[in-house]
Amino acid sequence: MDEGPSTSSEAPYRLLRCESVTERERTMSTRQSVGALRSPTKLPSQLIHMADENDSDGDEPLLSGSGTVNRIVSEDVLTEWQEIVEKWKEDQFSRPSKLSDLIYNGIPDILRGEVWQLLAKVYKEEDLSNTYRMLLDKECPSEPVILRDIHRTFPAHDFFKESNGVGQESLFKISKAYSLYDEEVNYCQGLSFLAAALLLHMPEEQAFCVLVKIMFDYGLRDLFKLGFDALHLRFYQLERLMQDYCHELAEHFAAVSIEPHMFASQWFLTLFTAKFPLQMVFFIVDLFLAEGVNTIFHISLALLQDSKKELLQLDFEGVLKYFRVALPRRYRTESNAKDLIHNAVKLKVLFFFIYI
Amino acid sequence: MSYAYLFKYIIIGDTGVGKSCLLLQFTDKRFQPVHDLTIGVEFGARMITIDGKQIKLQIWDTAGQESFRSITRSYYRGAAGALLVYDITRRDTFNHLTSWLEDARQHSNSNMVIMLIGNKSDLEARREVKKEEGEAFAREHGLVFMETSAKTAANVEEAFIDTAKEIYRKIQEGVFDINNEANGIKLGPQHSPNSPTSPSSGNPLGGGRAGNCC
Repeated sequence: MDEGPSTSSEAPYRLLRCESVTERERTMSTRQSVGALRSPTKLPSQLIHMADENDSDGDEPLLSGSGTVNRIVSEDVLTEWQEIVEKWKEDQFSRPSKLSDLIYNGIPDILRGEVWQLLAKVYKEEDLSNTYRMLLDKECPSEPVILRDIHRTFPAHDFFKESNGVGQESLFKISKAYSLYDEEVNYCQGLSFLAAALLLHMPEEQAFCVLVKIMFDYGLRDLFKLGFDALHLRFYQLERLMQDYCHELAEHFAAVSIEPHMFASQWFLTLFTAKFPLQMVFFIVDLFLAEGVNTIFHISLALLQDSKKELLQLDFEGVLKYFRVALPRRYRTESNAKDLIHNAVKLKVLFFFIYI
Repeated sequence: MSYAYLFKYIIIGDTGVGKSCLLLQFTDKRFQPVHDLTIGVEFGARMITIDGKQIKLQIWDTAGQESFRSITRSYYRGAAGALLVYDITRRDTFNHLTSWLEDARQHSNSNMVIMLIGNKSDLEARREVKKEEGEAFAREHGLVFMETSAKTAANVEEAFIDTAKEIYRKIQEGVFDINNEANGIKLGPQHSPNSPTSPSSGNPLGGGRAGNCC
């Protein structure tokens, strides 16, 4: 395996697929020696497995939590990130200016857990961590529902595969604690996917803190309140944005009777974590934590624009099947996922000039 | 592929009763023990034959958690058939049927055919709801009833197809206005207005209703 930095200026990371546990472990130790970085060691981050990927373009939808994650990063990029993160930790509330540009290319996997916590402003957040521990001792009325959902969350991922294994146990605890923390939203199906994505990068207490911030500070919980009223508003907004930015597709969808609630519930409610390959899920969470809740619109439109050509050829059933099967499969490669992020960022810039 | 009619269905019921597995067994003829939780809605479709006619079924599978009902509700209107599913190994899913039924009746057209399904019939040892109880509930509320197993495929075809037969019968009786898509029924694109509802059973109400081809 070659770990040298990429020669392409556009590809600071190099995608190398690890084929075995031994190789994976070797990669981990090499990388740690390169960066000598503090990572959430002995935690799920290390267990991000190279999920068996069915490379054929079959008819099967991807299971949540599947896909290969690039864990190799060039030394230059890692050093740059490392410097930023160290400085950032000294003054956690002033976000480094260079950060945005770096994030558009994805946070190095080894630093992701820390950077997510810094972005969400919960780095070493003691109060919330204490609350978490306290909540775990309480009775939880939603327990039966949560228990039924745990094994249906990221079933493709080794960490969450085993019944009553560490992954499922952590997922249960976070979901339980959140349902008690947020009396209004309680436990709502969809949250477990987001919690699972976070758990792959940090210990459960920290993952709980980031989840709370995403729901409250980033405003994701507004979607779940009052019978999903705000979600319906988001669907309407997405429809309007499509008319402006994917006009042809909007017309086509109207002609074949496709409406956003038929395909976008998961996008909004789980932050794209429930259907897409892990690498893309992580890129999206990177961007969401850096840019905020409008990221969901930027990604949604970028997804639609990306597949416009294909979608325009399809009828009602074809479109729905495309969203279920082909669209998530499209982002199994890192380059496609990264292109999508770049397109979403372009839309963000465009929106900034138009709507502000 | 061309079809004579298109019927829209919705599958409802508590979380974890096997709605998605029933749909997968019907559309793909397989059981997937490990699968994703349904968020919002999912969709599946299959062609069946009734009375020598090709009928396309388009099926919405919904999230079961109570809070998702505001999303599910928009799918009742425009459904000709509903599969209301409970789990024979969980009494609570049977106890919630009344509330599901109220919701369905309130938001759907009054002719929607509702099939009550007691799923997981393969788990006889863990049964909490007797078959007779399901039958009695169905009788009381005017539903068709069946016990199924999405795992072994027992009665799964029958559940979807018998619902379609009931809808088809209602069309022939002239109960459904097939020109109003809000009823969850659509005439096939290539079917002439002369014969789509001509009653093979000799029902006099069948003919002549299909004025406009869509």
